[in-house]
Amino acid sequence: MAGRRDAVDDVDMDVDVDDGDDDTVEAVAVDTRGNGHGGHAIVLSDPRERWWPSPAGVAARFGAIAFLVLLVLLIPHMLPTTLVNIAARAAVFGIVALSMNVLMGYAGQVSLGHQAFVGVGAFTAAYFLSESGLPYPMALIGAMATGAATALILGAVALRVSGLYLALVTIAYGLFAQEVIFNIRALTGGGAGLRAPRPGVFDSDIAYVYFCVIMLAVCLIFDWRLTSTKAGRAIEALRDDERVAASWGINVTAYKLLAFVISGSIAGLAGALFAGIEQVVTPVDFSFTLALTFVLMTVVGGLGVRSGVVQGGIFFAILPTLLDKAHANWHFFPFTQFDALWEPLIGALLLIVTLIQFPGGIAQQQEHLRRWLSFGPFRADPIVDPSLGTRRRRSGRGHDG
Amino acid sequence: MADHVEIPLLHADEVSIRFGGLQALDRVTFQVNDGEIVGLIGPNGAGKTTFFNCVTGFYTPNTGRVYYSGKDITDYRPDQRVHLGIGRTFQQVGLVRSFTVLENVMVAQHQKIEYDTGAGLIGAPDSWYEERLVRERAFEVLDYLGLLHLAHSRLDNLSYGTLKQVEVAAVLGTDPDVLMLDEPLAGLAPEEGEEFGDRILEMREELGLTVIVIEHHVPFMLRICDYIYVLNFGQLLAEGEPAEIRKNVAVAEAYMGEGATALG
Repeated sequence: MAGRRDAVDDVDMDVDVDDGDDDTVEAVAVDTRGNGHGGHAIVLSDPRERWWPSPAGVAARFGAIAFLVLLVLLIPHMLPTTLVNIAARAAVFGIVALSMNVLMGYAGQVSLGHQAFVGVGAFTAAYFLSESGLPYPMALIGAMATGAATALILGAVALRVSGLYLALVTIAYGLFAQEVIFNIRALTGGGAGLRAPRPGVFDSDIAYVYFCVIMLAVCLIFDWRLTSTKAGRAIEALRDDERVAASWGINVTAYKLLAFVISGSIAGLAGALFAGIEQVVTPVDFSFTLALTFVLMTVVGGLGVRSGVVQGGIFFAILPTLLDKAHANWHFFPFTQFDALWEPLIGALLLIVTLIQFPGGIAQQQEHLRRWLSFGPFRADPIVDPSLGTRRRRSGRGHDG
Repeated sequence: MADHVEIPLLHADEVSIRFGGLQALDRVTFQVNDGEIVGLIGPNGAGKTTFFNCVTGFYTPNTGRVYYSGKDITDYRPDQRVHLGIGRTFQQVGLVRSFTVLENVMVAQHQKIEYDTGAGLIGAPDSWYEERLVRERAFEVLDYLGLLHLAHSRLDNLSYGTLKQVEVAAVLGTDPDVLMLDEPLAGLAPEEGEEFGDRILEMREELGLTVIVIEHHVPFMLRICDYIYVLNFGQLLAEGEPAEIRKNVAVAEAYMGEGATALG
């Protein structure tokens, strides 16, 4: 494969190695313009044209996507009835991961108090449904609005402080919400919590999974439009360099706040859905460890890539259940008496492996697949390919180091 | 042209700024007329980039005002000044590192995009249509600067000189009336620098740009500039047409030490 990078002449022969669909690449040229070490990227003869797979390739991709969709739709039916709620939890964590991703991945702002946004959304929805008796859509919108409003307050703080200090502020906010706001008996029912009924049509466990999955899909589409239009680009630009963003006419203050508002409203939505899983919300559901889990799943999933973070979210949502099952079924499972430690331990190990080995997380390792499924060639982004040096895709703030 | 009789496009009036004990700019007055190419030269630390920052809003001068087409813009934010048509490059490359070349030129068009931010988020039809235009415009700009083949490259793969060129492409994406270039030749080979000089002259003709350029390469400046300001220790040392600057003894001394009599 080294020949691909070495000489233009070799390219035509090498193209077909990757997969059978590459044959529509008519003229592949290696960038040989003397940029020293540059020229890894294989580009089409006219960069303005989009690469398309052959008809067979298109069919294969459609087939793979259909299979994945079918899998998601069938999973709730394949699970034992006691575990169906876990699937809903997975979808909700996927939404939370998207919310975290807007803030941490796109805007580059740390949030260690995200459980508070989710909690605010959950309690708002529960209050609207059980105390005010509002219709379900209103409760969802209310949850998103309160999530956005609280995030906006934190965003105003983020305009003044950044980095470690912002992390501390978000921790403080999360603890404050957990200890104070969620214990206001009149609003949250105190320790007993609030009842949070599900929407009428999606009352059964399985139907509720579908409801959460639909919401996850909506959030994914929204996230896709965010990154494909000017708001997402502006937010990602200011993450890398606020001065440069401003020099291109981007209102840095406004777009930073917008990132907080979007993240907060998605978190609020996730909270409302979270409330419906157990149909009761209590303050202990939103502890600081949950915030840490949210950060872990986003980083391990791959900051800045929606497919990655959603998988991270799903993994960390089902991890406790997986471990429970392991304890129950595998008697040789080591150190059973320390079972409470396993979840954070696995999370921490995954984080370390991610940071050292794959800064782009799950997404980095799936880059080929992600490209292929989005109707591109089955080929890693040059930057993701470890043999080419730099490893980061959009995840990092600029260069390593 | 040197008389500055009409309302100048850009006018800095007695701009001063102080950082702690350092008087970085001391009552600098500077004028550029529409369509001029004006140079800003001076030894390192003379305050050239600081002056750029005052004009583009990254610094607020302690005293003095900045006018654009006669309008006082001293209190405008940097992004508001971009809307007026002031585009700039940075001494260190001002690009978004995690984006490709194409994406950089697309995000730079931010303020030219007409659809509403919210409309983009919910996928309104006009946002889809305009995004295609944004992409096409980005390709056009890259093509214009001869960078089309690099459109999908990541910045990490490009040399410093190429990055400076990509930066110019990005700033052109903001559709400026005034283009402020901070050491655009850094990292370019001499013949590439010559080529870029031709490109600047061409851009003035074709795009109607007014250009302000900071550059140490004196022959380049003498060639392309209509008018040159010389800064030294935050003060305006001299101003004039290239021929006058070339013969100015004070300028030559500031650059090359005492006893020097002419630049270039």
